[in-house]
Amino acid sequence: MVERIAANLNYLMPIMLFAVGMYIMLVRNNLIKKVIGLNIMETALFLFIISLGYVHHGLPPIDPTRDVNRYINPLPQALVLTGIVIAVSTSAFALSLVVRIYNRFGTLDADELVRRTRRT
Amino acid sequence: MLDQLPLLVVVWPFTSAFISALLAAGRCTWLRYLAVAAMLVQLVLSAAGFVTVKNSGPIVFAAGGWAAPYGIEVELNLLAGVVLVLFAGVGLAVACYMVDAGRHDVPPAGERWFFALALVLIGSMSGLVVARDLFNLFVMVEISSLAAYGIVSVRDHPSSLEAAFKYLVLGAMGSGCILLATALVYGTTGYLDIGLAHSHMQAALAAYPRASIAALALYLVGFGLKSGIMPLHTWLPDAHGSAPTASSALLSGLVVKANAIAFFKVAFGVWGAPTLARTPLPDILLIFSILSMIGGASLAWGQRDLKRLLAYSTVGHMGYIFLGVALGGVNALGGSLMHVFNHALLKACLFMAGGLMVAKAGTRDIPSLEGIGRAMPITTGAFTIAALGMIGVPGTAGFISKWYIALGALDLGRAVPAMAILVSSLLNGVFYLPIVIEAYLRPGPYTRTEPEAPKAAMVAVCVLAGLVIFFGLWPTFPLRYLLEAARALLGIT
Repeated sequence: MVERIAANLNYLMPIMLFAVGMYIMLVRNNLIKKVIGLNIMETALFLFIISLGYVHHGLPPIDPTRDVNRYINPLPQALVLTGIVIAVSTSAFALSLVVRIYNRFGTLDADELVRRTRRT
Repeated sequence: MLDQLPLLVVVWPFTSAFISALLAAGRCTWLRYLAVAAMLVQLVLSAAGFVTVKNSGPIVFAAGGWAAPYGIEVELNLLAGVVLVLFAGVGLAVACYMVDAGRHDVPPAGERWFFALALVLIGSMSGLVVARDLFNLFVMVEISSLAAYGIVSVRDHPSSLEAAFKYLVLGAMGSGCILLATALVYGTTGYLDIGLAHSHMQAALAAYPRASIAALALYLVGFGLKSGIMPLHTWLPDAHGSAPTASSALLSGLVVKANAIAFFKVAFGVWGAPTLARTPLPDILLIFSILSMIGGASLAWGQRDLKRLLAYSTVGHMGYIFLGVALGGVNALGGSLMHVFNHALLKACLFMAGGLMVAKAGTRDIPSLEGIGRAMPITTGAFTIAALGMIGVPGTAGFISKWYIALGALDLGRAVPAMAILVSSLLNGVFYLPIVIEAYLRPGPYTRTEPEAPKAAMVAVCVLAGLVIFFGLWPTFPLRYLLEAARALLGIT
């Protein structure tokens, strides 16, 4: 059991981090904290995907004269690069919404926000 | 040229979105006509794609000349062809509505950006239906989600800002689940191409049974969240109810369906129908869809706000769409694909006709809409036709799809889903008909004007209502091809 956990630690930790991010997004009332939770969740995913392509003592996959079997997988890195762009744009949009909401309502508390939108 | 169509239907809307964003920044006044023209070109491209696929089979295009395991392939098949035509057609109707009727609930600043966002939305949803690569699909889902959050917030009203944020938080959670599922499929099968992942799925299921099934569950939660199926629907009434009318028509008509189609593509494409039947997925989907059908309709019944009522009705009808998958079988799945097509027309028509009524009345309160049918007979007539289609009255498009789903349920000897369809249809009647009856028969404070509503918007609404009747009486065009697409999804030749 312990060996299994140790062997899969690189998968286990990102999944735990993913759950932490999701928990923050669902439970925290502060809108900024929700955005932070979103970023934690996405970073956890990037770590997970990167670790899929990890090879111990790996080589960059560009030099064909060296040991091909030790090449690391470049595809997950390309995926994560795209994922980061998406995460940044989502965060940027979320934060701009938060700014708008704060200007309109003067609060960052989700419950308070729901109470005030009911009134308008 | 023709073999590049699968890519053109994505590139064209994105290019025109970019140009219209530039023009919007330059405060161009004829932007709205350009947007209508761009949608028209998109419709022509989609129709050309559909006709080519119909005549000579699926078009597979390897982007950059790199074939599947190394490059990204896009595929235009029958399902994608029909759905692309649907997206472009509804997009065109919504753009026409925005030409002269958008001003009542979108401020001028938001109106300029609306067209760019709508074009991004159409482009990304088209990309989603032609994608053959799981990560490409995720990117397209993500672009369409971002455009959808934006299109809710263009109204710049406090309630729509709050709804857009709620939509964003839950939508981002859905995206997280989809990305994790994509990573798990890649990790277990070693491929991102849907076809290649499918051919390695049996080996993956043997080697990593839990991870492979977890990926399916994560896809269900991710796409379920984004398509607003019942226990995951909480954002939908707020977002669709408080968005501007034209955005609601796009969101309720197309975006939720695009995500449902993405789920069908992934579930049937990667796992395949025989494997799905061995997982708990059909049972879970059956519970979710019956819950949506009954629950969505019941919650809609209690609404006083017209747009929230329509939004809850969307939750109910997403239940029909997922019911076909839960049941399996050609008739049920074909019926649910048909419902994607019909419900998009019906709900876009309802939202736009309802929006015109709301603009005239100045309120979304349903009891205040009494007597509006006398002042706006044509708009209310279109609303009535679409409402009858929602109930599933024979002769309207809604009947055909409900009939096929019920037929599919009875084929398999399942009485409960068929009963649920009947109960949900009755509930639809209970909340749609009083609106129509009171609009026509009660006296109201509204006076008739000439024309009764902005002209381009009226044309869009009337054409959609006409199509509802047309596809109710002559359903051959989508039905034949969608049944064939259902056969292809199920792997029956």
